[in-house]
Amino acid sequence: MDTESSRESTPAPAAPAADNGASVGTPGANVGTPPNPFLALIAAAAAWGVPGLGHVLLRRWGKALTYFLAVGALALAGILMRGNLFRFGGADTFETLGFLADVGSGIFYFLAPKIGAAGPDVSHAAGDYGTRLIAAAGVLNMLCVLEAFEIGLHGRERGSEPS
Amino acid sequence: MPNHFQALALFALAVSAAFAFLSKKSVGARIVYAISAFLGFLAVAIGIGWLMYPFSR
Repeated sequence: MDTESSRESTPAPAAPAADNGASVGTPGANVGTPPNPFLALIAAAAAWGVPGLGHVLLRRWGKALTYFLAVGALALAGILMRGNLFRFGGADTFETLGFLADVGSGIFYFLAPKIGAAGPDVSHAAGDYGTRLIAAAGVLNMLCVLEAFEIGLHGRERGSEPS
Repeated sequence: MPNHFQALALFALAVSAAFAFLSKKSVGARIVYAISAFLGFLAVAIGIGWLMYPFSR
C-alpha cells in the first residue's frame, strides 16, 4: 500500500518546453503521457465486471482490494438479507433506475440468484434494507469504474484536494 | 443475518473506506478520512433516529 501511495503521490513529469500548448486538457492530467482510451475502456469494463479488477490491471493493488471488499460486502449482505434485485425492462422509471443501480455491481448482480437461493423477501425490514445495500454496492462500483477509466486514460489519478 | 445496526455499520464501513481511497492519496489522509466518515455516518444515523423517536408512536 505504501508503494501504491508513493506512486500516486509522485508528481507528473514536467512537459518539455516544446510540448507546451500541445497537451492542454484536464487540470491534473498527466501532461507528459498521451491519453490511452483503449486502456481506459478495458480497465473500466474490467472494473464493472469484477469490482477491483480494473485497478488490478492498472496495478493499483490497494485500491483494487478495498473496492472489491467494499462492493462485495455490501452486495453479499444485501443478497443474504433477501433484498430485491431489479430486472431489465422494468415497468416504471423506479424499476429501471433500480436495475441500473443493481447491475453496477457486475458479477455480484449476475451471481445473486445463486448466492441467495431463497430469493428476495421485502415483506420484512431486512429485505428492504438489503435492497438498498445491493443498490449502494452497484452505485459505489460505478464510482470505482469511473476512477479506473480516468486512471487508464491519463495514467494517474486526478489530483485530490490537500488534506 | 445482521440486525439493523449491523447493516448500518457495514454500509458505513464499506462506503467510508471506498470514499477514502477514491478521494485521498496518502495513507494517513485515507485513514483520517475513513475514520471520520465512518463515525459521521453512525452519528448522523443515530442522531436522526433519536430525532424521529417522538413521532414513532
